[in-house]
Amino acid sequence: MRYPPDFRSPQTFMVGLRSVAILGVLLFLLGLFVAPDRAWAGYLIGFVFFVGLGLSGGLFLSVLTLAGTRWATALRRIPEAMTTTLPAAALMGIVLVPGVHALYEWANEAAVADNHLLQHKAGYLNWGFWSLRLVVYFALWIWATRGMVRLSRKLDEKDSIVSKRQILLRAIYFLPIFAVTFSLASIDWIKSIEPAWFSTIFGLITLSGLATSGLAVCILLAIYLKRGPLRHFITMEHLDDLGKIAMAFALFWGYIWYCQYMLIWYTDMPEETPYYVIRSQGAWAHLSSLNLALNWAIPFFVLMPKAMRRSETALKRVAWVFLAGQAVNLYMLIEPALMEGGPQLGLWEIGPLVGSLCFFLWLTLRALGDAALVPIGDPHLEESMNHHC
Amino acid sequence: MVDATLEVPLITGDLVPADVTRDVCSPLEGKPTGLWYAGFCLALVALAIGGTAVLYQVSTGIGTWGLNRTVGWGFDITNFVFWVGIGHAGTLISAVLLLFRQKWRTSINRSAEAMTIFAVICAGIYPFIHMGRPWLAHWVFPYPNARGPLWVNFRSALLWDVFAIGTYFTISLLFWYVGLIPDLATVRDRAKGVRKKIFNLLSFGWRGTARTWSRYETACVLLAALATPLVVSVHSVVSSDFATAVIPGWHATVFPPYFVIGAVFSGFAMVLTLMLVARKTMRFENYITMRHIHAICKVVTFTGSIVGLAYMTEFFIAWYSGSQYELFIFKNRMGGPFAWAYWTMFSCNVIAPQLFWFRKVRNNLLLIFLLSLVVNVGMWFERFVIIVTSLHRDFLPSSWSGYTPTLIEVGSLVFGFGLFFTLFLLFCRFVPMIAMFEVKPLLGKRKRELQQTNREVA
Repeated sequence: MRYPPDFRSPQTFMVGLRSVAILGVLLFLLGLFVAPDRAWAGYLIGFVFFVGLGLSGGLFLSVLTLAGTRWATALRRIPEAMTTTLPAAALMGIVLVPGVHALYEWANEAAVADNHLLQHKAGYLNWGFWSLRLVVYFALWIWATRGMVRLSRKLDEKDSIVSKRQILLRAIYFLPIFAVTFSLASIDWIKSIEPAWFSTIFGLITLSGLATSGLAVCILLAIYLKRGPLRHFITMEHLDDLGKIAMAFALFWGYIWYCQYMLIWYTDMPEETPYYVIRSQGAWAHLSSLNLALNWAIPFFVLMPKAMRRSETALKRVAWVFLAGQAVNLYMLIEPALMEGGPQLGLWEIGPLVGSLCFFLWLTLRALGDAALVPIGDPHLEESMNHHC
Repeated sequence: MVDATLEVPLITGDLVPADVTRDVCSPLEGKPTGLWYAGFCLALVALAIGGTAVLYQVSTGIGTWGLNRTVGWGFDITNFVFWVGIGHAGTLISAVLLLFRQKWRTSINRSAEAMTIFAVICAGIYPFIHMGRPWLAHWVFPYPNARGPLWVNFRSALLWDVFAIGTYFTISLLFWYVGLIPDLATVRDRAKGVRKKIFNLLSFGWRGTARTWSRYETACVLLAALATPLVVSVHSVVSSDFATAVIPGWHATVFPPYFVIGAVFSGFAMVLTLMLVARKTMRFENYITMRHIHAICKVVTFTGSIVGLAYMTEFFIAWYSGSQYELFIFKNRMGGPFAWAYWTMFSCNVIAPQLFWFRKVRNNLLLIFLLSLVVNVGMWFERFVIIVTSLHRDFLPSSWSGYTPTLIEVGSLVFGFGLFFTLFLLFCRFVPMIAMFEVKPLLGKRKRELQQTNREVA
């Protein structure tokens, strides 16, 4: 078997990504002086977007390992590289801590003083505990994903001995940690923006967005590498299967969205309905429809014919639709409660979002160069290359 | 390099295709074993006892049950949701695992699909007898009628159930029967006389030409794609019976996915129960191997853990919501008059499946069998807890009540099990339990692989 050449992304491309990322940081800093509330909200969107992409790498790795999936072995370095962005995400999280007062009503003592609901929740929703949880989440995520990545890279070394049990154990650790911490993190970071509102399905709402956007990045990187150094490793069959997963994720996204919407609309209880009252009025309503179109309808129906799943161009476009969908999704999860006069879109929102995406791609592409582009020590690699659906 | 062990084969015993035909057809052609007769008699007794209770209830009225104005649903709907849930594993195994190209499904899909059909039949019984006047059951269908402007209520989740379960039953039956055709033809080819004629009719005169097979495989994949959404939709709709209400403990947005995963969990536990029995009594050890059993155990642990996460999410959000009614219901579940039911549910569903983490447990067939029963009990109690504990404390304390099932209700529970096992045992006797034509290619592959390794070694 031929080994893929050492990987390095073109210098100009990397400089471009880095420049946009820095521009995003500068815009955020500028925003802190000009329009601090909008800058913090924009930053939160960028942050959650970034964390979700990194975590999705861990989720895919863990699930692929536990399900004993072999067709994806040639692709495995992509989610591995995505998880290496989590330490940077942790830093971004720490930057968010001073913004708590601008974003969350429960961090405002005056607001808590005359609201008995906020007092009831104060044991959970307070600045100190919130920050502590943020640190704990990232510590666990980084620990669990590093275990999987290090073991996988160890396999590449000649004469290294790694047992299947060790690989499985690392994958098993990740799942329960992820399930619990990610559910709580979505409450902490997003749901508590509207502290009176609650929904038990919320962890799955954020999970579905994480899955679609993470898969989109995987698809983009797979096509990028297929056109370059991995042309003998990644085949049309892999893309076809990624396309099918994309359809499944789009369906999952739509299903979870519908469950929450339908049940809240149907029962029409004053505790819950306000959430959708804002989101179904004025310009917000159009954004809600756009959200459904980008995350569910367009990817699902476009990828239905086999020819589309086997077209690199079509898949790439769907991946961008998913990424745009996740941006709109996060905007719709976070902004309606913070922007009172209707949706606004400006540099303060676009800057951190585009900046964080570029930062993510820059980090991931760099991490791809740190190890062989395919797990050369994995005994299932050849089977994956010959995968045929 | 990886310290890879040689993979355990899916079908053991180094069989050739003729062995498969012989092993699978022999229960159909010979006399059943004593164990089969014993089981069948037991199932018939349960059916008779339960049938008497149901007959008495239908002729007398649902006053024979322990329901009251506060607790309007009890054993009836608990049994209904329980059986609908059981069916889900069959559809998951046959449709979703087919699309996922999971080859281990081939040994168990036929019986799992049969289980689905029988479970849906059992489920349908309960809303039917709960009507009180089951002879008016056709009123649940929307059709132009002579009752004036009296139409079904399209906004009611109960009516959605009629459509969801009706579709589910139709597609499952079609899928199961289409999957049976080539095997029925195999049985026909071995039979003589009237038996041959019957099986020829049942297999639609299957000839097995290349063209037939090509059409056949397309039809199977299409049916699988149609059945896949049903895995999710049916229990989502069933969960809406509760979640569209404003009753604390019932209205939770997580209910649809949570019910679906619970259904898959209970269904796989039932598959485990049935397969362990079938394996032993029909001597299918070569087909339902330890690898299959391990795989099912892992699915049970995985889905059971998600169910546990859902319990904890519900409880946490009940506190987080700050709604005193929500919090009361959950505290009452854990420490109220039905606390025993709650903790039975919790220990059976969340704690018991965690034992499958240990390889020693996964290799002990008796323990697996017992644990699969424990999960079945736990999932029955889950529905009981959701239904009864949410109802027995009304908004007005003056309406609070209790609930004690009558013997007639217990009889209706027995009826479901009697019917299910009667049907299943008849299935074991008259239909090939293992999809022969799907298992045979796995043998071929293994032989080729062996020859190849032998050449390489030489």
